[in-house]
Amino acid sequence: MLQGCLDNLSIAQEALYNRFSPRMLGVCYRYARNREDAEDMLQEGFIKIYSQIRQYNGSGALEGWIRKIIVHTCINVLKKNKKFSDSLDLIHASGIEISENNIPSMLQAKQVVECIRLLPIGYRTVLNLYAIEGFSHKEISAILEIEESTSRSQYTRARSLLEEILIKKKILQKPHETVRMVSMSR
Amino acid sequence: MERRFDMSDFERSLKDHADQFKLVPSKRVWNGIYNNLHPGSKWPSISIAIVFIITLISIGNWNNSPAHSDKNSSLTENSASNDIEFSNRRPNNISSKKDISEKGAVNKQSEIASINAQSSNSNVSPKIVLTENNNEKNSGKSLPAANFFNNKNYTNGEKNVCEELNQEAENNLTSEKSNQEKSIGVYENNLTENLPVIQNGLLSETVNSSKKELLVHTSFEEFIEPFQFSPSLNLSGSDSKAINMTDFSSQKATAITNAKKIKRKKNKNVEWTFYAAPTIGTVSFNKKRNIATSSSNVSSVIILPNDPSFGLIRTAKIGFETGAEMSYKIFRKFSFITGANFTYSGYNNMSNLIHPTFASLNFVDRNSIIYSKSYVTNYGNGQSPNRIPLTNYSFEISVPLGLRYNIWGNEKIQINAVSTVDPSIVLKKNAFIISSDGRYYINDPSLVRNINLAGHFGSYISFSVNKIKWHIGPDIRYQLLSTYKSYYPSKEHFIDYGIRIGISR
Repeated sequence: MLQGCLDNLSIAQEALYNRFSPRMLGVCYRYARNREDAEDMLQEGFIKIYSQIRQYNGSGALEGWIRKIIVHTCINVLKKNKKFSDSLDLIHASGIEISENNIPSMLQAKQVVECIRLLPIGYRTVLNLYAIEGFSHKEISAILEIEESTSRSQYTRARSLLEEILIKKKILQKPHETVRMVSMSR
Repeated sequence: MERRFDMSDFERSLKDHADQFKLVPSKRVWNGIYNNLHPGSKWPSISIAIVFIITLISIGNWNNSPAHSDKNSSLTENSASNDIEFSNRRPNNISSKKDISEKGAVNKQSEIASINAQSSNSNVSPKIVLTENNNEKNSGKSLPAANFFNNKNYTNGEKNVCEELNQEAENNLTSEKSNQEKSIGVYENNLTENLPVIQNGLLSETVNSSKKELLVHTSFEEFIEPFQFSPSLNLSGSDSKAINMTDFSSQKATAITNAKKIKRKKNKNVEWTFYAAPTIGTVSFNKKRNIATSSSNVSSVIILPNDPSFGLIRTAKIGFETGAEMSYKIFRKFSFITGANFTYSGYNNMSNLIHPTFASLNFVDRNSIIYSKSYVTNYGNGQSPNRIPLTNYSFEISVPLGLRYNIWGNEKIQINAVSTVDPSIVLKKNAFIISSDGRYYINDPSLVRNINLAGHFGSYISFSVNKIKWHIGPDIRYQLLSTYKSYYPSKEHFIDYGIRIGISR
């Protein structure tokens, strides 16, 4: 499949796309405003993947390499939007009201992802990069071109807000002073 | 099952759940990627059509080119069985042509006979056979004169061009030299020239070719009047030029055969035009609720896509039209039109992506009974800000049948009006139809007719530039039958406005 992609064979390219596109669209969906934007990000990301596939040296997992390109594509798309840049400078998110009705009743992974998507886009991006993609605050500050302290504060507020959402959805339990998360696997 | 929730657990848990999340992308994502990676195959049908048109133009030009005609008409057969040469070289200077018989400058050793291979058709060039027999005089063999030229003058009355021979000459070889000389029609630039000679029926050489040239023109329209067969002349005589009659019968047969091959003269009544037209496609719907049912409640149930309360947004789409058209002149100003035509036509519906949901369409069967069909769709009716275009289109091949009327014109510029009816076969199609409640678009190409009918109207200015005739003018195409099958109650008609550009020779 990889060799076929190197040879620019459409069959191999489609096989690669079919294998990784569902998971990568899930990644894009966490960054995008809506599904349409997510698909645009996915499309742009896969075009980059095929054009840069010669740079993949096989040292790591192919999925990791693809995911890295997709995430960077998502960030680049978001950075083109002025509202996104403004949202990174938000300090207070107290104006956001989370009610039971705002949280969709879905199951398992999608339930969590939809809760993440309820966050403001600036919070959501930092949360995605730090908690899910595993970037450090220093890396995030370089990627998003913001101060490292801003990244930290954004993440702290994002996590706090997400906890509130998850508790309201009864995904998280906070008995006494201990926060517990109900397993999604069942 | 619960687990300890601290910062690291929180992040790990988020990551685990987020990584499990998958979404299946729509087809348009892969189509966009594919078109970006393989732009050459983006429009395979268009590429095929363009190649087809270019091939047609090339074949048409090749068949109609003068060089090709000359090549055909100058067939030289040097084999023993086909000792005939056809020459169609045009005289360089008509005024210098002389009647050999008048000047007596024809080499007496030469015998030239002309065969009219096209005696029945005055529009077709006669073919001339030149023979010489240096060895035999008064061969006593007959001349098959059925296809021989009559003795004719040029239209200016000065030149003898061809001779006429008849069947009776076969049995009468005692004709006089003068008769024979009259029967010879040649052009010459210089009276001292020798003529190409055919020995034993085989054209062997042209003596002093730098000066001498036998000018026998296959297209006599400019020089001679249409010849007629006259059986009254004989060609015979002991002192006549020795016309090789040895294989004359076979020569005659071969000449006729070859003459038929050469008979590729362009029919001036027929004109081929190759054209292309960028178009702008729009659509019209029936304004009233044309429901084929007697039920008074139907109109409240059937929702048509032109309902203004839906606020649907449709935009025009660029299409194209290309093909080859043959016109045959049937009257002075009227020509019959036919050919082959490819049309890509369509328009855009503005929609928005939604989560998969159920939507339904209502249909009316032959018994005026309403029934509905449910679909799953991802497309809303475009009322939200994030709009995407959904293209309804059809790619058709059609055979136009109609008339062209010459409104005004001269030899250089003409204004024509063309009207045709185009029965068509739909090769490729797509249809997004508004649901019965007007909230969703449903994709169901199977509702589109496979055979349709369209009407064309256009007005073209035709002008000639460098032997190529250009046709440019506005063109309107209206789809006469509804896009959809009869059980779908809405009647939709594509309308295309374009500028047609065509060329012909």
